[in-house]
Amino acid sequence: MFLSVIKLGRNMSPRNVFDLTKGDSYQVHRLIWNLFADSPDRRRDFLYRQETVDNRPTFYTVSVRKPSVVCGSWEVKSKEYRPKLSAGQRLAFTLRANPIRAKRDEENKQHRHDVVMEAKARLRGNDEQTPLPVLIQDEGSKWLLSRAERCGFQIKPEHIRVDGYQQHRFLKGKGNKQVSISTLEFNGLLTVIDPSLFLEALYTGIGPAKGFGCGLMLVRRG
Amino acid sequence: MSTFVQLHLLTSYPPSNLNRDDLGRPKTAVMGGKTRLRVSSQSLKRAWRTSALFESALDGHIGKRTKKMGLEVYKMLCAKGVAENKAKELAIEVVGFFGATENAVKNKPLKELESSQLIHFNQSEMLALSDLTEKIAKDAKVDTDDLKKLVAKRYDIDVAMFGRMLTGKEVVKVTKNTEAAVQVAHAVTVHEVAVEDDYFTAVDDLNNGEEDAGAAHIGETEFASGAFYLYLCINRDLLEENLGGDKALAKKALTALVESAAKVAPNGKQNSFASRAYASYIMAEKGEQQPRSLSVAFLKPVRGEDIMNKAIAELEAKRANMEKVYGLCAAGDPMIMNAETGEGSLNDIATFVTE
Repeated sequence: MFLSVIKLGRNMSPRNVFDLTKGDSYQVHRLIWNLFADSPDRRRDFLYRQETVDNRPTFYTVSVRKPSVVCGSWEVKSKEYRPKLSAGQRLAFTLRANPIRAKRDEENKQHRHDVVMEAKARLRGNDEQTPLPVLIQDEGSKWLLSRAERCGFQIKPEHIRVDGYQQHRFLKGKGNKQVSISTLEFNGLLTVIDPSLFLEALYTGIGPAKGFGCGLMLVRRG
Repeated sequence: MSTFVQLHLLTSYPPSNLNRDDLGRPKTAVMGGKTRLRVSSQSLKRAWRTSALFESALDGHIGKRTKKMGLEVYKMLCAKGVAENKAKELAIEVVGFFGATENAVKNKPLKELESSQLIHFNQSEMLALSDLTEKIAKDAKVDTDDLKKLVAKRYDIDVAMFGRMLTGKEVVKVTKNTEAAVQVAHAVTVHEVAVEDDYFTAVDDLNNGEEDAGAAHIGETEFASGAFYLYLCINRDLLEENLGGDKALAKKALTALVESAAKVAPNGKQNSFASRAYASYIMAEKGEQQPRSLSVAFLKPVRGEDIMNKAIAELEAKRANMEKVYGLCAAGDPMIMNAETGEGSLNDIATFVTE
């Protein structure tokens, strides 16, 4: 696997950047796709994460292939990514994920609920209102904790920071189907329990909606 | 009304890691929505208090912050011929007067002599304690009244400045907990600093599986450089009061504080980076109004190439505007030292602050 940092070239002005993305997550997604799509029927084999460094959009990607630079507007640095993990290892991490819980209704139809919205709805009408940041921290932590075991790591609630709740709406594909996803930012410290499961999670992502800048967990020695 | 002295300093550090968090990264803070580097006030105060500068200027007036006073007492008692077990018992009693002691540990017989929190001892207290061991050794018992008498009625400079927080049951009855006369803000950079990039550079450590990778971990931002804004607020009257009304000593203390704030950097990673730096700019204000930090001047991060001069301009402009809307905070003009233009001097600042 490869870990890459992709920055817009210095020759691009903020205006160019805006023209490219139109402030739309789906356009961003397509931009990144272009760096990895070598044939039209390619399936996604990368994860990405968007950051703003020096006021420029910067992308981190984990991918099977090295990104190919199609034009000079990108600055790409790639490194081979093959973490040697061991059980008990403590790692610092950062993750943007789409925290949803799937539920079935009476007709056994599956619905996906954003955990924050769900909690907000549940508390509606209560006299005591939990502040949104607290809700985000609590519900986000619960969500991550529920995933920890199957992703091969262990984490203490006090070692998780959750914030940056955002709802994104965009139009996708030919039919301009409206898609909306929400994202949370996780930071913290975890302990590796099952190195092979954890590696799998690092390579393939955590949570659903991995296509939209979600699911890529970046780690480093804690 | 108290006289407040306010110091606003701008200091630029070359690449360094002055103050680390529990992951070894430089501490950060978000201000104005942007990540800044931060140096905590504890770290700054410790750096000043333990600096050679402080020590030489205020020799004999600086106490000691220690957990090991019990060990000292124990050793002194043993040297005076008290049996080891008895000496231990007595020493625990003495230290217990100042604060809680550690629990006994199997393989470390002397662990229970250590106090569980750092205790600030005045010089005079340390001397008196050493004298008292004579009596304790002779009587083979500790008289609480003796200990009460020993607690200083005035404080050493470091306690007078930064306070002494004690929870010990007995000592608190004799000495009121000193309120710190000097407030120090956390120093934050006036500009945005990115510390996220290190995930990319840190991959090398993970790839080769080395637990103690050295140079590979130094990313372009892991050890960042920055121009810091630091704010100090000194209650001059309280400082004098804490020092038992000794005006001359208060003056000396203030001078040493100003000098170390200007010259002494926290010593984190100093050996790797030698990031020692003097303040480039100091603005000192004096007045009786409610003090205010000028950190709002940097809510919008300073950008561009000439960071220091821009920061100075922002700071002065913000001060002027604050004065416009609130009226004067300081009596008279502030004293300014500017190393960029070579105006003013540290001496002027010190004189202004103390007179």
